[in-house]
Amino acid sequence: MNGTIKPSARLRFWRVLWADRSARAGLILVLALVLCAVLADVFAPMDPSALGSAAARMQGPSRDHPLGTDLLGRDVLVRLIHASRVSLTIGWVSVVVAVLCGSFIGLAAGLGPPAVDKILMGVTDLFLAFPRVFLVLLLVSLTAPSLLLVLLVLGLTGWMSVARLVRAEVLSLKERDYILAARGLGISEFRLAVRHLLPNVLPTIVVAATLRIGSTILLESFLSFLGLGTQEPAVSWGTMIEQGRPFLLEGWWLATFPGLAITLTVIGYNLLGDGLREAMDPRTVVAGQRHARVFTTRS
Amino acid sequence: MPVSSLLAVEDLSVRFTAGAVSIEAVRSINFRLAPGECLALVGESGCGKSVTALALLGLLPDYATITGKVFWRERELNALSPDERRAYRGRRMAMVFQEPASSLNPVYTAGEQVAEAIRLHRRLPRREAMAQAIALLEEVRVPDAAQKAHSYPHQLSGGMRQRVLLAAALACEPELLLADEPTTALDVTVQKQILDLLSQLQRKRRMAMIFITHDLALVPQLADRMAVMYAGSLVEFGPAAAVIAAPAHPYTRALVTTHPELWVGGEPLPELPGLPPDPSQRSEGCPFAPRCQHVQPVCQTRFPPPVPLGEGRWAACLTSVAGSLVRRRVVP
Amino acid sequence: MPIGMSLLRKSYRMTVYLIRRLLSSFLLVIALLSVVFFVIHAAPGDPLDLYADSDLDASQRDLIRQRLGLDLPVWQQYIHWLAAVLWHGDFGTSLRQHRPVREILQEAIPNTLLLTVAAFVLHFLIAIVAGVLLARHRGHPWERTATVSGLAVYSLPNFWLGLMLILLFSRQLGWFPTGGMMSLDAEYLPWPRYLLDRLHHMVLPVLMLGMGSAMATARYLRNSLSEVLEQDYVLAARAKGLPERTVLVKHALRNGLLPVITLIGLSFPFLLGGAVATEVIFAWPGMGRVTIDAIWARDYPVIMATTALAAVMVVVGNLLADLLYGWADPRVRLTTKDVP
Repeated sequence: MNGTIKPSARLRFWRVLWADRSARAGLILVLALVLCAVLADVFAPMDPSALGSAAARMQGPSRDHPLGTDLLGRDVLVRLIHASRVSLTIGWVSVVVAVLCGSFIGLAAGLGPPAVDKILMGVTDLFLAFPRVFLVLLLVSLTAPSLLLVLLVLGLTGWMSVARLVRAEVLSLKERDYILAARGLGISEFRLAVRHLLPNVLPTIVVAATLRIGSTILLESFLSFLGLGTQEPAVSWGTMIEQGRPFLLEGWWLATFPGLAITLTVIGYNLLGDGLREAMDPRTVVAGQRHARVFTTRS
Repeated sequence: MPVSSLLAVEDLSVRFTAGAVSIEAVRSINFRLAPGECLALVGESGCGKSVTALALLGLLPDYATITGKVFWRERELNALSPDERRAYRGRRMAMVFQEPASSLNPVYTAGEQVAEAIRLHRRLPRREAMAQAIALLEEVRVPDAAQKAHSYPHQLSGGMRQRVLLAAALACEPELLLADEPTTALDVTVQKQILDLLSQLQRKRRMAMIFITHDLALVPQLADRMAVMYAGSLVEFGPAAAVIAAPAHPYTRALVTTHPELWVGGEPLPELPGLPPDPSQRSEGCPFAPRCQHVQPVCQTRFPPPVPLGEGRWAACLTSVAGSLVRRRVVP
Repeated sequence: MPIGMSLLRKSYRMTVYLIRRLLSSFLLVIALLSVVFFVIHAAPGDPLDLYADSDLDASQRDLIRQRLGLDLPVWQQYIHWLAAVLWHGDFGTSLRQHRPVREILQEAIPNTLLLTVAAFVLHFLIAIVAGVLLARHRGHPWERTATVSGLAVYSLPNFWLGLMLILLFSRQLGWFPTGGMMSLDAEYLPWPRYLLDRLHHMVLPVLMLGMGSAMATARYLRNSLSEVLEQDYVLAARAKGLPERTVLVKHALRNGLLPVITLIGLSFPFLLGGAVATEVIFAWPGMGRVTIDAIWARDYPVIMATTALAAVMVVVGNLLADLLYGWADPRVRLTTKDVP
């Protein structure tokens, strides 16, 4: 009970996750998208920014161009695949940043003296009071838009809920016997945090992170749509939607498909996140045993 | 000589089904209740007492299948439409539940919840209904009834809440009151008060009552007759005093002899070993057979029918033990 | 008279509670304003750019610098700004529009409120109806569809949804206008048609803003209702002979909605954030649109004002939701002495 998860528990975890149809779908979606992004050059070896021939401009979906072409004759599908890299990179990296910050703050608040806890949580709640969009826009307005800025801003505005989650977990774990025993052995607070608490808080963090990736991608696409996100040539799905906006009716494929891509991605992460949460909950029973609970009539 | 019965239950069975799982909670219950009579339904937790009561009211969930017949003054209740059935609830028969803490809606005052029943069945305007509600609260001996009527459940003690529930149940002068373990969740001191109250109210209003309990000691004070239930079926039936004094069925006998208050012959006998059978696996024979000290081979194969023992008593036992036990008193 | 005394005591407690909450909310607002100020001023670059156009020559800039007090230490600037905001509601002058920010906000905020309140109502209407239906018919095949579609709506980019709505209902079908709050000649319309025109313009944006997480709230309500429906007092209510509809609405819903009220507080930041996208897509002249325009123009006084106000609106919303919950649940109303 000192941080390593029993192999049988691990097996059970995977079994429950796989048994849940939605979680399974989510996992597959996420993996497929990650693969697509990583192997973008393999799936679509063409240069997404290369101008196409004049004849190929503004074509609807066809056999040659399954998702159509844009104003400059560029294939939408190719651009979509390459743009997935941008969106996914930003999604993952900024969530990692947010989770790192949040975990650190949450741990510090949970383990530290009450004064520190109060201050940290006060700051957290303060930042939570802002609708995230406004905070992001405020920060973005300070300097010129770029990929790095987006990463930083998204990361710096997303740590708050993670911090609260981690703190809550730490507070509840703090009183557990094995922690008290470890303390009794004279282990330093830092070691305690890293070796004993962290592995037990990790499941919660992973679930939170997975669910956050979805909302981060949504926010990033909105920023790109506004032109405040990544700049050419690193085009993101949001930028593609913005480029398709003037041609909403005549060139509907330009704005529609990137949006669908975003939706699918976020659905995948949400399903996976929900599934992970269910799978990590020790109370979840594999389907079939659930019915036994039904008849709880009194005497 | 046929007594004009208020309630007649014939071969009532209740089965819960969800997917592949099927549980027979109540099996073949038969009894009659006369107007103004109090019947005690006794048995341990899980034997199906509450399910029976809910079946009488027609309040079982959708996944319950009810077979058999319930008659209210010759009228078959199961044949009624849901709306017609609903007309009987509260007006003709009312129920008081086991947990006063959770049986009252936390967001409405005590008075409002009593008045609700009044307004529903007697269609009085709000003010009058509230006045009646206060009167009812006084009848169930709630001190400061006028003020308590404006209190919320979380501000009242357990005994007080139970009285409020009682008032709500009595609001429409039902002819039958079903009391499902009304004192189990209360303090011992309060228990006696509530029981006295129930007894008084029953006699004063000439109400029939089905008093459900697992504690035999409470039976003589209130009940005229008693029915003992085990694993979903009735095992013994008869006048309360007689059954307790000389229980015929081995299970009833065990209940009496192990009860610290009833057994006066020295130390109470030790608890009966074993547990009631798993409801999802009911066997062919007598459900009590595995634990019975008088068990015989026939007990394992045949479900015992009620065997009349004279003086309005019967016991569901195939052995001749029951008959002989009738004459052997255990309680003077 | 004992009843009178206890009532008096109750209202005293409530008042004390109210005052404490208002005070802490006020302090929170000050903290929020401070955060906005310091974030902006922590940015690299000449602070003068925050207050003046960048295409002025050096002597003009020095003059403005002095006039605006930018040569004072930051703390003094902070106090001045804070005092101006709190006492006069004065957020300075817009760099782009050269008029008081307050004026701009006064025009924009009602429009945003109109949008968000309407979307709020729609959101909760959908959620309540869907939640009740889901709770009543658990295990129905519909449940699966509802959950999946709810998840889908929750996962799509809201601005893209707006565009798709425009594509379908406005461009393709021509049922609704593409944007704006009213038609060009709306002011000259007689009263009923003016109202209709305004409503006509509201349909798509309100749909976009309100639909987003309605199913999530519905699911939350469904869970809460299911729990409530298992409670003893619901059974007791049925035992009284009450018709099922009364049991559902008067007893079950009244309790089941309580946790949903806390969601109301949480939905404010969400709605306000969504309003930004909605206003951009539908050219709705509200706070969100003003913010975006201000960002492009580097109109910092406006940006500061809208961000701060958005946060303040969230705080106010939470306060209202808390009070609403306190009023709705007598257990909270009558037993809280002081709530942190």
